[in-house]
Amino acid sequence: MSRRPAAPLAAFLLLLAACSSSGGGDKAGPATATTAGEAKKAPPGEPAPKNETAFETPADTFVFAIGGEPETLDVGKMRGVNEFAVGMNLFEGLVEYAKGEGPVVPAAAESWKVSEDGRTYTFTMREGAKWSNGDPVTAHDFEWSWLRVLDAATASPYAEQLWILQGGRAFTQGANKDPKSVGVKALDDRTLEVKLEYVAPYFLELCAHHTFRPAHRKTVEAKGDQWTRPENMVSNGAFKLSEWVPNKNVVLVKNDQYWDAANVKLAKVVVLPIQENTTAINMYEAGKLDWTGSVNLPSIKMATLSQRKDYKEEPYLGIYFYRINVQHPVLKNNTVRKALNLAVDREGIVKVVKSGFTPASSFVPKMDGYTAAKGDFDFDPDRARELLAQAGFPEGKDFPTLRILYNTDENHKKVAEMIQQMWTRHLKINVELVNQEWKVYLKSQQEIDYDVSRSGWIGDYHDPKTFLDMWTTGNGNNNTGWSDKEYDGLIEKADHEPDAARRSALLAQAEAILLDRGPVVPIKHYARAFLINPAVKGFEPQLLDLHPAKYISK
Amino acid sequence: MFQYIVKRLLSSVGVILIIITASFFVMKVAPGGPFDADRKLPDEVKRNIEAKYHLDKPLWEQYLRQMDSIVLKGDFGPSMKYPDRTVNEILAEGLPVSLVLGFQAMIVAVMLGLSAGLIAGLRQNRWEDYGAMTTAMAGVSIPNFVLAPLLIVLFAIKLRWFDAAGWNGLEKGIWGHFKSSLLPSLTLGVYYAAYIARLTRSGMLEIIRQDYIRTARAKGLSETVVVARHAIKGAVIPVVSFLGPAFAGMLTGSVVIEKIFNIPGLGTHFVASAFNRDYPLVLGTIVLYSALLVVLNLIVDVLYTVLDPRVSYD
Repeated sequence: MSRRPAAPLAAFLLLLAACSSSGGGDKAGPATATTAGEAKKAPPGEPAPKNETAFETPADTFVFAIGGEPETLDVGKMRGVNEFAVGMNLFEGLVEYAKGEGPVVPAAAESWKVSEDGRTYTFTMREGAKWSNGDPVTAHDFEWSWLRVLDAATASPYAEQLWILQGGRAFTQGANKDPKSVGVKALDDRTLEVKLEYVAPYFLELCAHHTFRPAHRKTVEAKGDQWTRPENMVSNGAFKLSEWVPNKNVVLVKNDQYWDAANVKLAKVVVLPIQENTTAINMYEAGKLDWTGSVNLPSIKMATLSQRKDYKEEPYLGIYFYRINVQHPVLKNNTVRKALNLAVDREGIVKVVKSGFTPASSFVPKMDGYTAAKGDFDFDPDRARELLAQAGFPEGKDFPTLRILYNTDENHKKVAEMIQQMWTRHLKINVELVNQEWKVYLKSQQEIDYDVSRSGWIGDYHDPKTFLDMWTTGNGNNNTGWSDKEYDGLIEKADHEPDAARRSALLAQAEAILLDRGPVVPIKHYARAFLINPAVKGFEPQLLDLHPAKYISK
Repeated sequence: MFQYIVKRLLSSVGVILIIITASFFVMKVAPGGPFDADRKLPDEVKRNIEAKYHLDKPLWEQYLRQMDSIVLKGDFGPSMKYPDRTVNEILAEGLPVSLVLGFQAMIVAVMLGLSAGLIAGLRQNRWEDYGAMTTAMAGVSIPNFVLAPLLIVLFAIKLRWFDAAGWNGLEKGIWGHFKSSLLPSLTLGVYYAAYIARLTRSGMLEIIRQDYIRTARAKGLSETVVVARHAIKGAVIPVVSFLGPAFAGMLTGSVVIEKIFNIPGLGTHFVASAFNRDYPLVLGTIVLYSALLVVLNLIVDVLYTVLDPRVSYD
């Protein structure tokens, strides 16, 4: 009996320890809070809690979290990462992402030929590839699926992705209703011919993108919007849908009909939509999750988390930057924009924000096959002041108050405050912060109703185009009023350049213009931070954060 | 009584119609739409989608369509954020979860609150009273987003008695359900338990001084019978009037709890649908919640007459 009071006492101490770790605020000592740290603080005589999480997930099951309920499991209508995290395991494209970083690998197509001008692709479909109901996967499936996405009646929000096909855009607009006018055609069951609108060396990789993955025609036609229900769905990926309880879980089981089923090690994949990163971490620590998915918490919590052994950071194909409204009477002056750029200490920001972000010296993140232009904006407050004086605002005199717009979020606020401070201190100008709810912020940004606006952009594929297209004149994502004929010309020229090296150089030239006189303040390149069960194998870093479960085992 | 209930229900229908109308126009005024994202949709794509959901029609036509569908068919239409599902389905999936959570939290609140309040009231100014009331004070003061993580760290991560998050229905057995629902029910219920404890205590203190209690005692009834048969009934009247708003509060206030514990209830949609500008889902949740509130208030008013003979609606 005498031992009994010790248990509640120990529990209480643990509770306090936990408090100090989750409570945030003060960073008094080094003792704040890793699980390991708590273990050391346990009262003497008590068995020290285990250093690592004991996982309760079965060995043939991979359980991971996504940041929210998938909007849809209709592969042709998916928009975001939550959908695709599930979708890529259900549906297989002509090609599939490699395990880790690397060129895409053959999947539903076993080989392909590219014409000399780089604009015609001929795919040979894989012999023996089957849908989960046993039907063969044919070239006709792809032709039908792609046309379906383009079709105005489908109203797919991602139809734009397929406008790379000849005549694709006109078909979506309804300007041309003849499906034969679109550059995708099944020559026979095993041959798919694709004609592109322009030269795109990244087209093969696009074929792995969700919008390019096929849906099962008979099922879609018979079941309509209900075809994505577990009882209806027919898919051609390594897994098939077994259960989908919205906001609770999506359960996938191994698809025995899959052509490469022999190499699929998992029997089950469980995807949990969890909005709150803290909740995902709690579940992970309780041993119910193998992978938290990307977590993004206030920097103080990230600092704690990053002490863990199972904490990982991977570069992610994205840029965090500020847009500058070039219609603004003062900001239209490029010298002012340069001054703003030079007064930003990117290293300083990244040090505080953590999570593996890297300071941006270019707009396009690092990727194979492209040497990004380097911007001339290394932190230099003296030069910044000089430039501002040149522009007619010595010591910030008469400079109008600048407003930084950001969408309501703890981390965005932090960055905005730091930049506010840098500009105020180094340029002696007045800076105000304005935060808006997401959709309001989007509207302000699209209507160019701001001075400086926080922005982010995540690439769809490993090619600088996915970051540079948006800055062409009148592009729907430009949102700054910036227009540069030379820039537009270079992008246009790259679209017709079949030689990869020359094309890449053209794009780098365009990027150099963007960095030299564009409407942006590049700040940092993205990273993904997460916790992962050390027993998980086959999970390799990948710039798009795509990890097909067919490669994963435990 | 029957007449009274019918009258109340009829006026409620009017209230709900007004709520639908007001919500419809207010949400259309909010900037942005369901299909705005950081990647702007090309105009032709946006046009196709808007045509599909009739968002290209004039506002009055959209309103009439919506009203027609809701009032005549009870159909809120497809969700714009989750195109694979209809709003009716989403509500039908979320409501039972929220109701069960609210109901369990209610049981926690009533059990803890009543017993603490009765003890405190019967042992006024003794240590039992101070202990119960201090705990109640703490219960009211500690916000649920503080209490929940504490409970999770202790009982789910360290001790692993309960689930850290998630929700199991009865398909995982009673224990499976209990494991996933105890911590959220407790967190949600504690605040109300504290409130109920204070109400019960003051109710008890007031009743115990009433003449009819003195009469009961004078008749020679034992203290237990006096309390159980005569005092409690009077003491819980303020509690009953609190239960309606409390249950409503638990349903609408479960948003935070549902997020922390990742529970697939309605609370999540209640807030998120507005942020997503998922117009049909916004209307659906609003109508559902208003209907619940109306019904709960009515039940409380009817219960009054049962508990307090002085109240009558005829």
